[in-house]
Amino acid sequence: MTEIAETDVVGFKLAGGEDAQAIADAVRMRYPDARIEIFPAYFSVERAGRIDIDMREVSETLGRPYGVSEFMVTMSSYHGRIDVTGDRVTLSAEIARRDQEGER
Amino acid sequence: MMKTRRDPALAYQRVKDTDWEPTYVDAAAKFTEPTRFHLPAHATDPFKTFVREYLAVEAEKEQRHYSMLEAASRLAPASPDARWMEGMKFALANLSGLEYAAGRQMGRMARSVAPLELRQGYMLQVLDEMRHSQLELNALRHHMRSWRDPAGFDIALKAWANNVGGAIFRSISEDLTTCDPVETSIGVQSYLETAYSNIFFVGLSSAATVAGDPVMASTMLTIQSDESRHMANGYATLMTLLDDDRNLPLIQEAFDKWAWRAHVGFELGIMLFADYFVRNHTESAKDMNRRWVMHDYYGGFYRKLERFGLREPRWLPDVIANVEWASHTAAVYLFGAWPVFFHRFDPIDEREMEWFESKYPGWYSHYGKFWDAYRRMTDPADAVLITKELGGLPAFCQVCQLPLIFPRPDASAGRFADRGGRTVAFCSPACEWIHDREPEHYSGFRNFYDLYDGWDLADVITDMGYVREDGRTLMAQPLIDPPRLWTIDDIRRCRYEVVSPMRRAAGDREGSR
Repeated sequence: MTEIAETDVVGFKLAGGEDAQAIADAVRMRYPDARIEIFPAYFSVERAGRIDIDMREVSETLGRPYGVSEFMVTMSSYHGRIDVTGDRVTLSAEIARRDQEGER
Repeated sequence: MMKTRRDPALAYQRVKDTDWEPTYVDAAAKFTEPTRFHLPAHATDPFKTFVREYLAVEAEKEQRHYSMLEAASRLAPASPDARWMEGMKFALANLSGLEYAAGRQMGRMARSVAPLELRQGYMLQVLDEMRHSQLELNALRHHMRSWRDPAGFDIALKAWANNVGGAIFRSISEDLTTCDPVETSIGVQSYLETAYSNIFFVGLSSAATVAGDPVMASTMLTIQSDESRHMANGYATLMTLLDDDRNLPLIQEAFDKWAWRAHVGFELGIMLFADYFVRNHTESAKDMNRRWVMHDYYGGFYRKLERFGLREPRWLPDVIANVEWASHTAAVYLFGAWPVFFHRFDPIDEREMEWFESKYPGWYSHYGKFWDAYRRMTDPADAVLITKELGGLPAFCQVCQLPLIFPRPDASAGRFADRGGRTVAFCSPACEWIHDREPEHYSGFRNFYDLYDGWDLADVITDMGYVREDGRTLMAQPLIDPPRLWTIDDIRRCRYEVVSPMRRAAGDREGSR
C-alpha cells in the first residue's frame, strides 16, 4: 500500500474573469473557511467536505440574471462528487452507491 | 441569461420516456462490440443535460473563445515565448489526434453501453471531443499564421501519424478505441480526464498566459469546461458498474491496467511539457502531480472507492516511484532524438539546472552530463550528432511505445523478450503484464524500426517529410536559433544508420546459442 492519505477537500477551477470573481465572492460569503486562490488564467475555490453554490447568490453579486448554464461556461474543472439541479451546483466529498443518491 | 432550465426533473423524465427498444434488430446485431461487464437498464447522470441546454452552453463557450481568437488574429500580442511556441507544434499535433479519436471512442461506447442515462452523456461527449479537436486545429492554424516560424505547425497532422513521439499517444489512443468499450470509460474518463487532464488544461493554462499565448490559455480552459461533464460520465459509469458485484474483478483489472497505461501514455508527456517547455518555472511537474493526481484523484476519489471493495491499482507504487524522474527521462529522449521531430528545441540553461536540482534533489548526478553534452553538439559545422553519440535511437515498448530508458536512462526497467518467435521490447514489468493479458491486442503495432531499419537517418527525415520548403533544411533544430540551420546534408555527414535494437538483440541471442 502506498501512503496516499484520503482527503475530503472538494473544489472548483473557474476560468478567470468577472463571473469567476462573483462565484468566488458568493462562496466566500457562504463559507468563510473556503480557500480561494487566483492564478494567471484561473481561480481555484476549495473547501473541506462540501461546497453548495446557489446561482441566485451569484446573480445578486453580479447584478444580473445568472443560472447553472452560465456557471457551466465558467467552471473549467472540479473535484469531488458533483450534483447539478435547478439553481444549484453542489460538490460533496462522500461518494455513495446509486441507491443512496436517489434517481431524480 | 440563457433560457434553458424550466422544470428539469419533469423534462428529464419526459425526454427519457422517448427511448425505445428496436424490434427490427436483435441485441447481438445492435451491440456489435459486446462488453464483458454487467450493466443494468438504468443509471444516474449527475448533470442531467438536455441537448437544447447543451447547445446553448456550448454556443456561449464558442462565442467567448472565438471572439478572442478573432481579436488575436488582428492584434499582434507581445512576442510570445519561443520555447513554449515551438513546443506547441508537438503538443497540438498529438492533442488534436487524441481528441478526435476520443470522439470515436465515445460513439462506440454509446453504441455498446446500454443504460440510457449514460448513453446520453456519451453522445454529448462525442460532440465535445469533435469540438476540442477543432479548437486545437484552430489554435494550430492561428499559431501557424502568427508565429515567426510556421514550419512544423503546417505538417502537425501528418506528424501525429508518423512521429516516434506521437506513436506513444497513438498507441494509447488505439488501445482505448479497441479495448472493451466499458473499459474505455475507465481509461478515458476515469484516468485521462479525471486524473490527468487537469495538470495540462488547467495547470498549464497559467503557463500559457505567462508565455504570451492567450489563445492557448483560452483553448485549454474552454476544453476543460467540457471535461467536467466527462469526469461526471466516468463517475456515473463507475458507480453503475459497482452496483453489480460481478463487475468488481473486471473493474479492478481495468484500473490495474489503466493506472499504468495512462501514466506511460499520457502523464509522462504532460510532465515533460510542464518541466521542459515552460521557461518561467513556478511549480514543478512533480508538485503538480502531487496536487492534481495524488491529492485530488487518489486521495479525494480513489481511496474512497476502496470501501466498495476495490484495491489500490497494481502498479501504482511504480507510478509513484517513476514520477520523480519521468519528465527528465522523457526530455533526454526527446532532445536526444531531436532530428526526428518537427520543432525547434530550446535546451535548459545553467540557471535552470539549479532550479531542477532544487526541485528534484539528485537531478544533476543523473542528467547534468546529458545537458552539458547536448549543448556541445548543436553546431552543424561539427558534424557531431547527439542521437548517434548516445548510441542511437532506443528500442520502443511494444505496448506503450515509450523508449526503453525509463524510469532513468542509467537504470532502465526495460527488457527484450521472445513472443511467438519474435523479439519484442517492453519498457517495464507493467507493460509486459498488460501485453501478456491480450497479446493479440498489441502484436500488430508497427513502429519506427519496422519502417526504417537499415536506413540512413537523412533519408528517414526526408521520408517523414520533416524538411522545410527548400527540401533540405530540417524543421527540427537543436536550438531556437542555431549558428546555421541544420540541413539533410549535415545529417548525412554524421553517418548514422538506423539499426533496430530488436534485430540486434535477436542477433545477439542467435550468436550465443
